[in-house]
Amino acid sequence: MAGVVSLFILNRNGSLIYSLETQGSSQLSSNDKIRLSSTFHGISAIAAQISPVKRSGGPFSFLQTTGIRTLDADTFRLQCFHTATGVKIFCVMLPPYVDADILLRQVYSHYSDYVLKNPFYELDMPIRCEPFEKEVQRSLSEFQGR
Amino acid sequence: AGVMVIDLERWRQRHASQLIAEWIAMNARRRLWLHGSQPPLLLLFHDEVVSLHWSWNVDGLGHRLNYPKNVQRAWIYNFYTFGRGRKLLCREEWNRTRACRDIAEESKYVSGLLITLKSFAQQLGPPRTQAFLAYSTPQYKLHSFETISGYRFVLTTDPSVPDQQECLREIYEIFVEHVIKNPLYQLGDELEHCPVFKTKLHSFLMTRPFFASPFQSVVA
Repeated sequence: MAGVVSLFILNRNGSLIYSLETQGSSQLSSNDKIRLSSTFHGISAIAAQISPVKRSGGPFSFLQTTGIRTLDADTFRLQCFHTATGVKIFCVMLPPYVDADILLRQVYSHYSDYVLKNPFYELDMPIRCEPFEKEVQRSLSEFQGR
Repeated sequence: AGVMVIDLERWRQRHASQLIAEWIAMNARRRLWLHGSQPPLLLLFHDEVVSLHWSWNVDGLGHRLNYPKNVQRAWIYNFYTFGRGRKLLCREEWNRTRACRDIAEESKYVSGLLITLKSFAQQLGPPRTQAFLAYSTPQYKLHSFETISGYRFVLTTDPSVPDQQECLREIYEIFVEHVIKNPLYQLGDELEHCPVFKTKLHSFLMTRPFFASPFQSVVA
C-alpha cells in the first residue's frame, strides 16, 4: 500500500532529530538519513533566497514561511511542514499521492505535547521520547488506513 | 473563438469565407466536429496564427474598472536554459516583483540547486528514481526538465500552476528546431544567433493557459 513511507524532523539548524521509516521505504543508513535531511534544509533555504516574488507584507508577515512545501520527483513526493520556530517536519510519499498536511500537523502537535513538555528533553537534541514515538506511529497508521 | 483580429483584404484574397463555408458544408454531410465556429477556423488557418497579448481580451473594452485582479497577473516569472557545465544559455523574465540583483549569482544558485536536487531525489527516493521534476514554496513553483544530452529547461511560476513537463518538453523541441539545427550556432554559445528561438518561445508561452488570458488569434 503506497502513501507515506518515511518521516523526518529537523531542528532549527537543519540537523536530524527524529526519523521514522516504514517497510516501503528505501532503508537508508543512519548516516545517509542525517546527510540527506540536512541537504534538504540547505535546498529549502536556497529556494527561498532565489524567489522571484516579494513576500507579501501585512501584520504577521514574519510568520510566513518561505521554504519548500512540496518537492516532486518522478517516483516520489516530499511534503514539508515548516513551523514558525524553524523546525521542519517532512515526509516522503509514494504514489498515489495524498495531501499529508494533516499528518504533518498531527506530528507537530505530538512534538509540542510529548517532546517540548518533557522536562528532560534538551532543545534541538535528537528525540528519544517513547510516548512521542508511540503517538507518531499511531497517527501514521491512522493516516495510512484512511 | 475569443478575440480575433482580421486583415479583411487578405481574408478576401484567400477567399476565406468561401472555404469556411465549404468546411461547414462538409461537416453537414459527415460529422467532422461537434462544436461551433472554432474548428473550421482552425482547419483553415492551423499554423498561420499569431497570439495576441492577453490584454486584448479584457471584458468591457476598458470602461469597467472592476475586472478580476488575476487578469492583470500572468503567472510566469522566469525561464532559464542551462547547457553543459552549468552554463546559462538563456534567461527570460516576466512579472517578477522581486528584482534579481545579480544574474550571474542567481544562475549559479539555480544551476547548483538543480544538480543538488537531482542527486537528492535519486538518493532519497525509491531505487529507480531518475529525475527531479518540480518544487513549490508558498511564493513560487519551480519546474525543471532535463534532457539526456544534459540541457536543463527551468520555469518559475505561481504555486497554483500545475505540472509543466509537457510545456517544457515542447520548448525543448522548439530549442532543437531553432537552436541546435541552426548552422550559425555553436554548441555552448549563448543564444544571440537565434532570435527566432526567443520569438517562438514567447509566442508559445503566450498560448499557455496560465501565462496569458483565454486563447486569442490573429489571421496571418
